[in-house]
Amino acid sequence: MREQQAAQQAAQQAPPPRQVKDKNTPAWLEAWQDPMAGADAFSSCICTADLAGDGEFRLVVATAMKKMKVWNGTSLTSEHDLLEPPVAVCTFYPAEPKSPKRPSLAIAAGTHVYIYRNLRPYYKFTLPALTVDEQEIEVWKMVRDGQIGPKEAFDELANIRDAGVSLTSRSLDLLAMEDGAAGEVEQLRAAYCAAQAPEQLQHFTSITCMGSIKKNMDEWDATSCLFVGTESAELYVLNANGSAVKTTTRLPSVPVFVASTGLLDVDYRIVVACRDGRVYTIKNDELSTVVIELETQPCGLVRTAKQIHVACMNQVIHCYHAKGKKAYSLYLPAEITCIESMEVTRTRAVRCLLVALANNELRVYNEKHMVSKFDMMEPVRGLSFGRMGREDNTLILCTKGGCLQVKIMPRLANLEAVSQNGPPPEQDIPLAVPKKTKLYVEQTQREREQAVDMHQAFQKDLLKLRLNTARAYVKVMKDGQSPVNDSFEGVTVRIQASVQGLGPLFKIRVHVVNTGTKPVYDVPILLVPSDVDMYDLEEVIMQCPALLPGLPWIDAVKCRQKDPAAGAGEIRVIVATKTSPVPLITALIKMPLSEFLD
Amino acid sequence: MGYFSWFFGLMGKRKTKVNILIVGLDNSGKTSIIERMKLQSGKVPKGGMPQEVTPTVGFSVDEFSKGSLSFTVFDMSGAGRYRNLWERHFREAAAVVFVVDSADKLRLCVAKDELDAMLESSELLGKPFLVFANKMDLPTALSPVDVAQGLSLDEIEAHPWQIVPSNALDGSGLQEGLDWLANFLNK
Repeated sequence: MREQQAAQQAAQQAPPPRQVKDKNTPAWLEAWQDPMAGADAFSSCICTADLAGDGEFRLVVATAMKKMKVWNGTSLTSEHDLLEPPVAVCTFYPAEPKSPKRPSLAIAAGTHVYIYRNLRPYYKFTLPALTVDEQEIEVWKMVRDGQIGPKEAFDELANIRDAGVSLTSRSLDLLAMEDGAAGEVEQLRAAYCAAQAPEQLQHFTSITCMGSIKKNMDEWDATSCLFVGTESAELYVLNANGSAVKTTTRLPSVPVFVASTGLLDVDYRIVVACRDGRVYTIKNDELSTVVIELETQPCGLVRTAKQIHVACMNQVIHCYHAKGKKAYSLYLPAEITCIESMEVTRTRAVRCLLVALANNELRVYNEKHMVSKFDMMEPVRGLSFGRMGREDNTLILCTKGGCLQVKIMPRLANLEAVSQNGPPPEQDIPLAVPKKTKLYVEQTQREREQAVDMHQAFQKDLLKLRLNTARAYVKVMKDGQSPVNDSFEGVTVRIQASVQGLGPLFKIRVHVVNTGTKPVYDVPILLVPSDVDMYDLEEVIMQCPALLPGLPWIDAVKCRQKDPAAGAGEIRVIVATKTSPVPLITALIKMPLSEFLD
Repeated sequence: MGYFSWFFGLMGKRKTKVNILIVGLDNSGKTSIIERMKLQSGKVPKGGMPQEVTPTVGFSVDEFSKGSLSFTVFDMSGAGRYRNLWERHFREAAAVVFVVDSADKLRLCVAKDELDAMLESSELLGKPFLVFANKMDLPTALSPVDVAQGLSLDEIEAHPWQIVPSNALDGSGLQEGLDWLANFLNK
């Protein structure tokens, strides 16, 4: 006790030595963390932007709780309510001559893109309505006119849905109704139909992903355009103000992740990972023929200048060249929660890939090599790398519990991949070769001199062995001694025999199947004990009237051991036919030892 | 004061020349501090105190005097891409002034990282470090104690150091810091 106190005092007095960093493993600087931030957001809902035009990049997080939170440095500057749960957040610079330019903030939610300027709602863009199926219009028209009731409408709509037609949200809501607190489902449907039928039927889709692409200049504050992917498998590129659709591209499936490179007016590519497990490329308004097929569903997409990284659900990240040719794969020890590109510009740009895993790890890969790794307290849900405040190399992490963490990559960190050229280090370890004995030397001598003879003798013995095996096999097949017989006049029989009971009373179950193609009739099944005096059988011959192909025939015979102390014997089960000279099949049952009843 | 120094100058009392390196992250107020110090030492810049300070590119050299010392100040740019220039001036510097933006809590760890790199340099061994916890006028500014803690100054053993709260806009705290430095260099 006293020693402990003395040790504690000594520890308090002696200042801890100043930490010396290991230059080879870049340690992230822990800039800030707020466990109570309530930042429950995926990567697509986190972004940083110079919202005020003063060079300080604000952090914008749109949370699952329908809140948009804005941080300046470490202080939460504002919080805005959202009408719908957000899908994606990004910023774009609208076409305006004003300087300094301030970006617009776009939040995709439901079927709308809400555009904020100076953190005030500015404009709401609604996706174009889709055409409604005519049958569906007809059904609702009949409901409105009172021609059919809610029950018939339900059945009709269910039929239309099952035929593969995409229904409006109104119909889908009706189909999804269940008994609730408000009453029985029938009443609910009736009330819903009465309320909804007079309204005009409209079919809207919802946004699944969003991004922005520069229009005609590659500067950080150059005019840029939004693009959104929708649930109806379309990709819309909006105009520079975000007020109208500029181009529409139909995709083969619903897009879930998008990434872009290039300039919209010059030459651009938008890479789209879809729900059908394929990655498509849109090249200058047209769907390119380059399609990447994945083994499993994608769970993350990152596009750098020349490479496409796709994270898959089977714990693998595939890297492809822009033309769709695969470069390499990274196999990870746990499920991937999110990936993000990390570009650090120094004397030369270093491009890395940030990977967050379900086992709380966060890894940094430069090409195929892991250059940094650290553990988090809980799984990461969303991450973003970029400029925050005035620092360029900032990593923003949102964890499962809503904790917000900010880490900074130090200026002198080494992110270069350590390339492993030359032979692996294992090659230099000598093998444990045993010493040469006299016997070994003589043997090798003989092998060298009489190699041909030895080989021929070996071959001869091998052939003999094979011949003997084949002969024994044929013999077994011919006399029906084996549990599986050769086909005899098109009849193949399989037998299984088992013994039930502890003894001295047993029951022998016989299970016979004809696996051939022809039926056999009048099959006697004989039970022959090896020692006639040992067992008392209820019947010695079981009569099976017919063995039909595929149908099992099961029977059981009671058997009593005459002298329970006499050890265990064997009983042979023989399946015979009246025409064949040899049995169809034979099985040997090893009887168990009897346990005394007295 | 100006007359006296002019008078001493005529009498041939030579001032001791001291080279000082002034470093810190970008936007921490290094250039503003130098402008204010020049103003306080009686050197009025043409056109008065500039309102807008543009970010320094590379570095700039300024001179002003304080008591019997004539300071030659190397105002280093704090931008990330110029920070590797700092170490080129370590050898000739007699002292280091490290400026921290007290309101920038996010980048305090970056400032510590840069300070640690300097403290490890053999060329600066034993040279005094003056830390200005600048921008004290901002409501979100950390106290000098918090800044000292954030930079782990108490763990520095091989260097004499001092932290002074300052505000380059009205010049408060700058004289105290400079006095400490002058005392130290006069010994």
